[in-house]
Order: sequence, then structure tokens, then C-alpha cells
Amino acid sequence: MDNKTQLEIIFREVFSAPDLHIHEAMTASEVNQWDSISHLIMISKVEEVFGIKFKLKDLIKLKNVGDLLLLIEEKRKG
Amino acid sequence: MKMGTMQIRKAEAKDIPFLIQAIIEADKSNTNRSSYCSLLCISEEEFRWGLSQIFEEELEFCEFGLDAFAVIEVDGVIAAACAGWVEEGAGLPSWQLRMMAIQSVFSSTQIQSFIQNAKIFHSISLSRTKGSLQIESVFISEKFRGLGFLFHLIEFHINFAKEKGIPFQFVELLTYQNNLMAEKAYQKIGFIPVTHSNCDHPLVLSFYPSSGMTQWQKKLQHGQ
Repeated sequence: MDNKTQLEIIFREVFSAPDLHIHEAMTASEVNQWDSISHLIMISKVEEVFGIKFKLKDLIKLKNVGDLLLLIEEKRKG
Repeated sequence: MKMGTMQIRKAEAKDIPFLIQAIIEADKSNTNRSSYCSLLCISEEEFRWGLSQIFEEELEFCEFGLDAFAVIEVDGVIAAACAGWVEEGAGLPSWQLRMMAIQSVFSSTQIQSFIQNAKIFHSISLSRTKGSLQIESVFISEKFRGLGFLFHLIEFHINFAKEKGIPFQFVELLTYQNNLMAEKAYQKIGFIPVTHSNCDHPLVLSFYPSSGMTQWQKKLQHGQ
């Protein structure tokens, strides 16, 4: 399973949106359930599922889902 | 009180301990309850440490970054501080930046506590308006209160945002409803209450200074 598909599964579960399709330009404003608490849950889940740990300097650069996917890829490469 | 030489300026790294104090005191809102400490199930000392780690990064557009703060110095002593930023000025809402900062420094157990507790008291939160100038973490040392520092700090943020060419519609801030002194002070300088939140969970006062928050706005006058 590629990173995008795996991330989409996490998003659907965390944001309680079974039909959600993620795309590179997607931001929190497009997803109803994406608030401060679900954001924490989503990032925790991403770290757990992909076996990575984000640093603040990585996270503050994230502007959208595309940036998150790039960061996941970068972190998985080590 | 006889005033010495007063200077208002952007905060510098040497001011960080005072800024951390400002964040904690504003969060406690004249009580002994910090919502961050309660939600994360940590001591004030642990929260102070976490903030010191967060301040090492160059976080902008939220109160957890040096860049957002202005301070007032009187005769070389820091007397007051407050954060100001244009909401979503860099594209991300400040809540997202704040959560990312918290997530990056505290343990997964502490984050899980935060998630569980914040879910219970979710109705206390109010949303900040995109494109408004946010004022947050206002703290004035006790002996410098009543000298108009609040007005000067907010004016400084208004002028700074204008000089940087960041457009904003109005100034906005949040207070806990227990803080009548702050409410009076904001009303005096032209803020009006626009919305309120309320959480009726029986344990809310074990976690927060108050069971509700008020959102205040001030429209800029012509020529301001």
C-alpha cells in the first residue's frame, strides 16, 4: 500500500469521514471534523502507523496534505 | 507610581523566561489552574520546560513563538508582554501551530491525556477569525498595572502588522469569563464582546480557570 492510500485510511478514520478522498492541496479548512483535537490524533496516528517521529521544525513547514506526504516519505527514508 | 524610561519593542531571546511566564499567567487567568498543565497532566515546571523547547524553534503566527511577542521595558526591566499576530497570516490557523508545538515536545502519554481531557471540555473553545489581528497572552507585572500598558502593547501590534503590510480587518482576543478585571480593561479601550462559550461539565473548573470564554473584537477607527 502506498503512503497516500495509507494516509487516506488514517484521515477517514480520524475525521469520521468514510468517503473522504485526500489530495495534495487539502487543508484543515476543507474537512469538517479537522480541529485541534483531531489534529493531535491524526499526527499521533501517522507517527504510529508509519513508524516515524516528527520534530517541530518539520511540522511547522506543513501547509497541506501534499507537504505531509512529502515529509512522511522523507522520514521513512531516514 | 513614578515612571522611568519606557521602551516598547519586539521581544528578543533574552526575554523568553518572561514570555513563558506571560503565557502561563494568562492561561491561569488569576487562578491557580493552568488549562495546559491540567489537560496534559503535568506540573507547571514541566510545562515551562516544554515552552522553553518550543521557543527554540522559529514559530510564527501564534503565541508560542518569539516573533509574536512585544514587550515593555521600564528602566531596563521587563514590565509587560503580549503576543499579536494576524490569524492564518502564513496560511495555517494558530490552533494548528499550537497543537503541533505541543505534540513535538510532550510525550505520547501526555498527548493522549491532552486528547482525552480536551474532548470532554471541547465546548469551551472559540474559533479565532481568519485575517484578524489576534492579541493573546497579555501579562503586566503587578507593580506596572494601571499605567495604560495594555493599550500601548495593542497599538504596537497594530502598527507593526501595518508596517509589515499584513492586512487585517479588526483586532480580536479571548478572555476567560472569571477575569472581570481584564474584561473592564478591554472594554475601556474599545473592545466589545461578540460571542461566548460555556461548558457545563461538572469538572470544568478542575481544568480551566472558568467554565466559559468571551471573544472580544475592536474595529479600527478611521485613520488608525
